[in-house]
Amino acid sequence: MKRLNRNQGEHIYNKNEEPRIGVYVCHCGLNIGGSVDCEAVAKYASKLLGVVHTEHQLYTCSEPGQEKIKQDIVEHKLNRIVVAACSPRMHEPTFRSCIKAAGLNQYLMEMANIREHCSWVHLHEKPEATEKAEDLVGMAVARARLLSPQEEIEIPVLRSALVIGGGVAGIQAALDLADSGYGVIIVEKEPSIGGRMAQIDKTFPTMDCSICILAPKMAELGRHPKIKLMTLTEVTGINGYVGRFSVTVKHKARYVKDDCSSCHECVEVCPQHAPNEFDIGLATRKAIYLPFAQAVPSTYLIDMDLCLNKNGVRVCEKCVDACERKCIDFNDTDSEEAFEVGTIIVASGVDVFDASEIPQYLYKKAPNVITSLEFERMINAGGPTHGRLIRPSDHETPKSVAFIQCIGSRSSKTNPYCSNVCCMNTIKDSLLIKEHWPDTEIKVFYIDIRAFGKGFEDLFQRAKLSGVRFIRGLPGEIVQLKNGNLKLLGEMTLMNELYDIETELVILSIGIKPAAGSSDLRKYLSLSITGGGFFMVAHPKLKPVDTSIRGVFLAGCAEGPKDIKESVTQASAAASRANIIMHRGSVAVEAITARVKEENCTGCGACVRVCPYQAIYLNDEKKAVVVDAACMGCGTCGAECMYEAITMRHFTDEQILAQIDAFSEHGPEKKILAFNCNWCSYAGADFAGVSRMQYPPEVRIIRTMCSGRVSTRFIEHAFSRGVAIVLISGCHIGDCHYINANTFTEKRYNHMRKIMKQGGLDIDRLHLVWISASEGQRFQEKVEELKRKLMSVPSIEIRKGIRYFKERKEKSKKLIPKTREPAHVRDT
Amino acid sequence: MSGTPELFNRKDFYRCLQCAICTGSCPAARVIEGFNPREYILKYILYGEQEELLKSDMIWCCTTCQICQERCPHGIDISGFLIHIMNLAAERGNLPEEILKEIRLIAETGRSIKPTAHTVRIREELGLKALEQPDTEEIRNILREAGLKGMLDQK
Repeated sequence: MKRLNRNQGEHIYNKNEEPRIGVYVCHCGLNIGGSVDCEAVAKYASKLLGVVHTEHQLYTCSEPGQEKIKQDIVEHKLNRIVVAACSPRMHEPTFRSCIKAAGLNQYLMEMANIREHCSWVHLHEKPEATEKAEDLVGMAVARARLLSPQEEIEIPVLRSALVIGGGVAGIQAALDLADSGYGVIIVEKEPSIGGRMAQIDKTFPTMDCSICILAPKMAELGRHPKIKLMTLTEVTGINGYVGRFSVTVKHKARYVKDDCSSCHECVEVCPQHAPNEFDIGLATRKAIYLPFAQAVPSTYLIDMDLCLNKNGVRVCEKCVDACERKCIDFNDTDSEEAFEVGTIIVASGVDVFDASEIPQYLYKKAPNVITSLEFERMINAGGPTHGRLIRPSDHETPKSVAFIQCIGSRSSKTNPYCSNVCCMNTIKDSLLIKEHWPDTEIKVFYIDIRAFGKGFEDLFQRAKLSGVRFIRGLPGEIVQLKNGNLKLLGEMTLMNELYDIETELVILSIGIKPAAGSSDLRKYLSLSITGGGFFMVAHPKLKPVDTSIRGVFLAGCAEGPKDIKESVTQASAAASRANIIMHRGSVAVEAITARVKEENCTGCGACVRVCPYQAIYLNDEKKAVVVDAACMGCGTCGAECMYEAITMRHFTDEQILAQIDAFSEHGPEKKILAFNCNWCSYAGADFAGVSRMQYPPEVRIIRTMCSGRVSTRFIEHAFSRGVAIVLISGCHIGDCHYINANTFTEKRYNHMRKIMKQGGLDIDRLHLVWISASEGQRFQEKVEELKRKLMSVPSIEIRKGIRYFKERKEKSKKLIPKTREPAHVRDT
Repeated sequence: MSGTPELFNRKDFYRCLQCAICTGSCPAARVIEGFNPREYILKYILYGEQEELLKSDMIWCCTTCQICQERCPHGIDISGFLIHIMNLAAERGNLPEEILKEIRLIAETGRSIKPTAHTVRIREELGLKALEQPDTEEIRNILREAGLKGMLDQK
């Protein structure tokens, strides 16, 4: 195949030029071709208005596939391209750059999603899937006819990053970015960085001392000239977008100035005691304390809930007197700070499962039942027992120990996922006990041992060789005996035998769950979450550290349970991804922002009121003006404007109405029209496709950036064309990617139902559902529900709707000034 | 498979991890060798409803105390499953002799324990009113509806 020269065939868009559309139907191997007759779809497309060339290819995204498009653009003078293939969330950038290379503006391309939304969800209904694919292509062609070229603007990116969380992932990401020369602010809510890794004694599978390998990194971060470390600090708000995020944080008062030399004199004299959080309450600390020896910063802090000096009343000044450097400052107060950064790395980490949620294992009831994290502190030389393993009841070293696995994990009642680290952690812990006290009898009660990583299987074998007994089958219950010993009652499944085993100490191998503060972060950043509450990545295979928000990346356990090595790997990857954006210094913003048709604008200010970004204002002549850099393109203003004075570039009213027209050309009374927002619901429907969740083929989806774009005009138009059921779908309230634009969706939906009620129509023909990017099943269930509804909509009801909304349209025409341009080629 | 209502959700069974907490918690398994709810679930997942299980005397050892499902990490309705199996077995007449005796007693007298001369005397002494004869025809109808038709009429 002849390769195209980049500049060859460059042609400039001419407004009066008739559309010459090329349609490319992709088989995607058998992914689409298996359940859609692609040849028939291509044939169908060739008859559509404006289509001058069609192809059906095995893989359109392949190099030859793309070359063919480029050649055809030149050869057939194509000026619009429709690719019927996978989700635009997957390959829109590919085909945009493809047509751009052939000299066409990249916005003159439209995709019909016949894979995720069609072939994959109707695997066993070939005729219906083919018919649906034809509809989707018809809708895409209708829209393509009205596409116009757009120019993207570049916005500058600040060369600084925020890292949220000071565990090993956050530390690694901050160091990588700072070493690359960017300014980094790292925020940690605890008094010291270090996270979970600082609490652990040894690491698997190499048995390295955890704090020994972490402390140098902590210290390096503490003194790095490019890093600003904020401990006892929490993020309280994030606004803005890639390149310029505005962040506000709250610093909790430390009451000790950073002149502190960690001399310990203050601690000696402080009279107040409390359980030490770092040792999970196994030891005590004073009201003035350092969380642990290697803490960074090594500045002490005062726990004001414990200190005797409250609300400015001084009753004790022992620490003040003891401090030679005069670092103690009782006048210190909480403070707030705001700053701007270009990129954000979320490394908010995990909390551990609370074992007392499983009552039959007696945690917090029997003293000799402890958790794996408590064990880590005990076996650690710097811990409360200086490395001696003891039974809490009598401080004796136990001669027998039982580990119980999967505490809180793999259960629909607690954490539904596997916590990933507990198996290897237990194996490591059992070896540590054997190393110090070889005669200890150790039994591990498990369901499955997951030793999947490099070197893990070897460690498992080592544990077995050293005498650790692995018993398949968790105890049903634990009984505490008078001498403090514990009796485990259960079944060994591999022997079909019941057991009744007495042991001196039980260690519950607790799972991990998302950090408590992560739900706030999720709101500030509009991030999606997956089943277990962990943050969702943009693509599970190919974008494993990106989020769906540009410029925001994930590292460590915030994304899902993982061990130290994986956390560090991901942190470096996230830093590298952030580096790409910051190194370039600018990012292109999609040309989808709002434009005002001044001649239509009446200056009513409705758009100003609904804009989530205050990106619209009224000028002195009472005309709306859009601030391009602030507009994110949600389209809520366009939906709100009664006078059609706002054009949403690339998602114009005309384009969407044309899609509805194409949809309703064939049997609209038997179909469901869905509007899905790009970020949550469209992605949710994609997820249903990727997971092959089968649902009725009657539904066709129109993509808008936000559900707030869905104007009542679209819904009225659909019903006036005889569409049976309309579904609007967006992100959950509070999760909207455009702050609160979906609250206007809800208002319009309620308003629309009122209008329908006034017309005596069945209001149940209009539905609204919130579907997040991970809720494919919810979409599937909704479509199934609507299919049942569809069967019960009588034709008299449809006709009534057509009549009612046509009348309304006639009436409303009088409202709108007559300046509206007719769409230049409008298929009716 | 039959007209008896299912008291459990089949889909749930595929969540079973074979963690053995059910059998480990089961008071019946502790005293009766061979009674093993975990194994019943496994066999059900692998082979479906089996004749072998419907004929087994063992299933009647379940006391439906429900501790198994209370502790099951996925809340699988194990008691509901065993009751379902017992219902199917009863429908086919696979009832242990002891239980059959009990059913017949209820069908004939309307009571699970026959009043003896002793109990009648005690009631008199305590001034309680004399026991009435329950409507055995109605009780028989209820038992028939409950799927024990064959059992009652075969005699």
